[in-house]
Amino acid sequence: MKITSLKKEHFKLWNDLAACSEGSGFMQSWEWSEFKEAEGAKVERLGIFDGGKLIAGAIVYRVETTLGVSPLAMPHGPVLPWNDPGKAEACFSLLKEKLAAMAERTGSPVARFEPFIFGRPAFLGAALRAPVDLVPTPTLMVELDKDDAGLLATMTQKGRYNVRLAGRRGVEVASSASNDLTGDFHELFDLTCSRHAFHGEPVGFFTRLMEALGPAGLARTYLASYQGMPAAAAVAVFFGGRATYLYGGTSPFLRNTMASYAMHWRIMRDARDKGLKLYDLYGIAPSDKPRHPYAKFSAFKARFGGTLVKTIGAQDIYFYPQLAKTLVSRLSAGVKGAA
Amino acid sequence: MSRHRLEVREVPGGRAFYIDGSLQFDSRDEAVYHEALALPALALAAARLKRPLEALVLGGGDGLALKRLLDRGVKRAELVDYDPGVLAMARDEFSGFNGGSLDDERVKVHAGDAIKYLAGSSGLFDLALADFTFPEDLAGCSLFTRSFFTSVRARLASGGLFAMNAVSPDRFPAAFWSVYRTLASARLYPRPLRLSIPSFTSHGYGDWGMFLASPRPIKDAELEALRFGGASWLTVKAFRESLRLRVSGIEHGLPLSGIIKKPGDLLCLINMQEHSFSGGGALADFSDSAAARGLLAGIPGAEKLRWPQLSAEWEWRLMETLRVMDWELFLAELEKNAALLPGKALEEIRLLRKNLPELLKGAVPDTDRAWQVFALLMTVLVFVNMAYPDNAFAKGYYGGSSGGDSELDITFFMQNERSPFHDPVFQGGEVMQTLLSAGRPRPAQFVRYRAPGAPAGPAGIKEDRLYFALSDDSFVSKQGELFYNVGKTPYLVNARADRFALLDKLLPEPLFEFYPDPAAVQAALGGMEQHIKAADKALDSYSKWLAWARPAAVFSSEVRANSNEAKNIAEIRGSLITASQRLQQGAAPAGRPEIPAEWLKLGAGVYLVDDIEIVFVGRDGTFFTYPYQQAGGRYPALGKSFGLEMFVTALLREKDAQTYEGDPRRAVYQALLAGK
Repeated sequence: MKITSLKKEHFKLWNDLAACSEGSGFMQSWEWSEFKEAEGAKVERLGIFDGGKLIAGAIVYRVETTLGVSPLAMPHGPVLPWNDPGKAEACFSLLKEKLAAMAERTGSPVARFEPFIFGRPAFLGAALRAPVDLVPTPTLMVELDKDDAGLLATMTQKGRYNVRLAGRRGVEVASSASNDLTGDFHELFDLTCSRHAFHGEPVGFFTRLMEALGPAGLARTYLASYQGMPAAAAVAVFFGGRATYLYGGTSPFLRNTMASYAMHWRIMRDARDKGLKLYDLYGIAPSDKPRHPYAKFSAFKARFGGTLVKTIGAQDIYFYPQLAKTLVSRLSAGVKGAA
Repeated sequence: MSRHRLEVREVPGGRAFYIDGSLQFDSRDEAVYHEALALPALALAAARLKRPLEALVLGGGDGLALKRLLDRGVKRAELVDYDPGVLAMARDEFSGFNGGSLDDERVKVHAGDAIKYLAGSSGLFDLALADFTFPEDLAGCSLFTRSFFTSVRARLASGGLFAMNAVSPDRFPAAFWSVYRTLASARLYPRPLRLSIPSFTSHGYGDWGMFLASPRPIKDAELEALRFGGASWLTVKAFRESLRLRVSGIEHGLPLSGIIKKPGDLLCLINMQEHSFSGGGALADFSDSAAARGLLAGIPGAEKLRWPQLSAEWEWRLMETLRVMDWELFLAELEKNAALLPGKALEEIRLLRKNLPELLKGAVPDTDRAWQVFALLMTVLVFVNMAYPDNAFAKGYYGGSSGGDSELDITFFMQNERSPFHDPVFQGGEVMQTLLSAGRPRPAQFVRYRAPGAPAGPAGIKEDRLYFALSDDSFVSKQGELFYNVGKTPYLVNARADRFALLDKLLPEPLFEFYPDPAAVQAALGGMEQHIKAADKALDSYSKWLAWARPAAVFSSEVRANSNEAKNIAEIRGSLITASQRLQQGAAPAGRPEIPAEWLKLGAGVYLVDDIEIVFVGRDGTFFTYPYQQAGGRYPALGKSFGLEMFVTALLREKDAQTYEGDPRRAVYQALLAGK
């Protein structure tokens, strides 16, 4: 086996591998990595070949800073043959060596990975639970391999009622793989962020996201309207077997139209029709934490009847030589500059 | 098409312009901002160079800063803004505010990227203004790096001036002072400015920050001599006031600041949620360079580090990381790099190694220098974590959220049905709530009672709190007594091995003493044993953790919560041990009463016999009939009392409430209750 940097020609090979790996997700897709690269992240795409066949690897993200060096981040990664623990361990060992070399080159004191797996294999060794996750966990996952009646049946009674109510009230849902709806989406997203005192990304972020992921069918913007007025909007990502509700916003003035229900109902059906098996509602607050900042969103998400899923979360491997160097550089930095 | 959402909102008496929801100017007070940005640089350049000036405006596509330059007779100006949407609005909607500055014949407008423009052109300018939007992504932050400032400096004529819009020195002090350091490192001698702009303040942006800088040091006398004729807001007094910055912002920001070499450096600082200062406090006068230098030299590094206002869970998570990291390996690496360090820092690392065992015991005060290196390491880890902007949930501020709400389960020990600890219920100064099954808290019951064997009179009455639940119906009190709820009635049973005393929650004297239930006692003892073990385990974990984390309690609410929880668990453990010992002292009286199978149990020690007779089982196992509906019975009669009457009624009512439609027992209970 050997580990090597992937080139553009490996695009399809890599995406096929990442898409069918259960432990992976859209953040390991080639398109997402290009999007993040355009956003300013440094990206390295590593492939592990066994007898000429690509069997594992990772897309590693890094943001260059000098104050604090960002982790070598592998959200939804690495992509390993998790079902073959022996091989997965060998691949992980190769990857660790490569990451250590990257850490030495970049000065990053930590590699952070977060595969979408539920049990921690022993070969992860001394990796420590990270202080913060790359991907929300736990999350709610709705199974999609059902007909409409089946999907409705898995929702809570209130969820079902609201989906139907939105239909009766005439809520219409449009979707686009281009930037047609990005402006409308961002209006609602921004409103929602202000309402909840969250800091939201600027519209340019979404424009670029749709440009990078839309044409390949990996992302769509959804807009639910009531009598022509935007009432709810979302950006959903489709990759591998999962659709993901990545961003959303609602109008506080049209809440009683239940437009968000109609919108998610449409996303779920679109994802199912694309052959996807799961809809990831992208994070849920613990049910026993009613004051959690995401508690209200979570109560809403729960109405779609998903199953609570908790992955192993982000794991860190520390590179102590680099951590020591970072600390030493901070210790050496005196107060300079003059008035 | 603009990549940004541009929006003009009508406001009473004016218009306000927003980019991506962020206020750029409000026509009612835009003069405060644009005069402060443009006029000092213009006036100083005019005073220094004494010739018609050539100016460069980077950003500022609304044309308002440009207007100030043109109004005061610059010879020529170039404006570079990458957003064609903003430029179009400047020529149309804003022309009433900017006087058509973009179409002035002295002006050349470039629609493009400022960095590319600087790299691809070569003329010199007498002054340059940078008027960019708030840096909230890597592209925006790239306009605040050392390389950007160096390329601006390269385009300034000798003695030329550079003025720039920065960030709030109060809300983002580390970012603001990083811009200061970065300007200085690009050999642009900076003077910081602070402005109160009413529309910015009303949007919660805080006081705003700018810099006036030059490749040639700006002398105090030069600043003092500046005059701003014809300005609507900027007076000499207002300018002098803008040179006064809050000392609190400097103290909080400067130790965390650094030179912005990469855009990510600034993004990392912006992403950190920082202290929002109330606006008061001492001011440092930056018009006096000697005093300012003295102040900046006096700002310590790690010694006075203040934590950015990260959420409490962040502090908690970083502490956890420090707790589990491999210190031996790390210290060895630190010492390998020690040769690079100045003497004092090297000494501090040696102190850290020497004092680590002490630190781990929690014996080192928080002013110790070894601890300060430790705190600096935490800061490094904050930066490492904040440097990656895509952390889950890290995109949002946790507005007003206090500690304890964590989406991650980082616990020292697992919480399960056998160990209810690690819950906010136990993390206050006192345990005032009882945690029921499924994690439901409810207020702890206060009780006053005379315990078995207690002396007569008021001195024998205990005041107690049922603060730890063994189950939803059994509790251990602070004073180490076992209590049972009698269903949902207002009665309690105080359990001892030799008797179960019936208490009215409102009265201290027992109403009756029942024969004890040995099975219930055994079950309670088993539960206590499990909880004592869980408490031991929790205390063991906490003692290791708090041994070194306790000094951080000063700035970490999580550590304070941990410290409280450890104290409270120790107290609960004491109560459990006392209760367990009490239950093991003494035994149930010999001659355990045989309860006929057909008797219907109403509560501990109370039975309904033949659907009519209420039988109590006394402390020594004797049966008594309570004359509830009938005068006599098969056993010696208890004296009628108001307390017992109410108790039996409460039991029957509760039983009645548990029956269903068609249940034959309903008629029995209702017949008994008739007339009560």
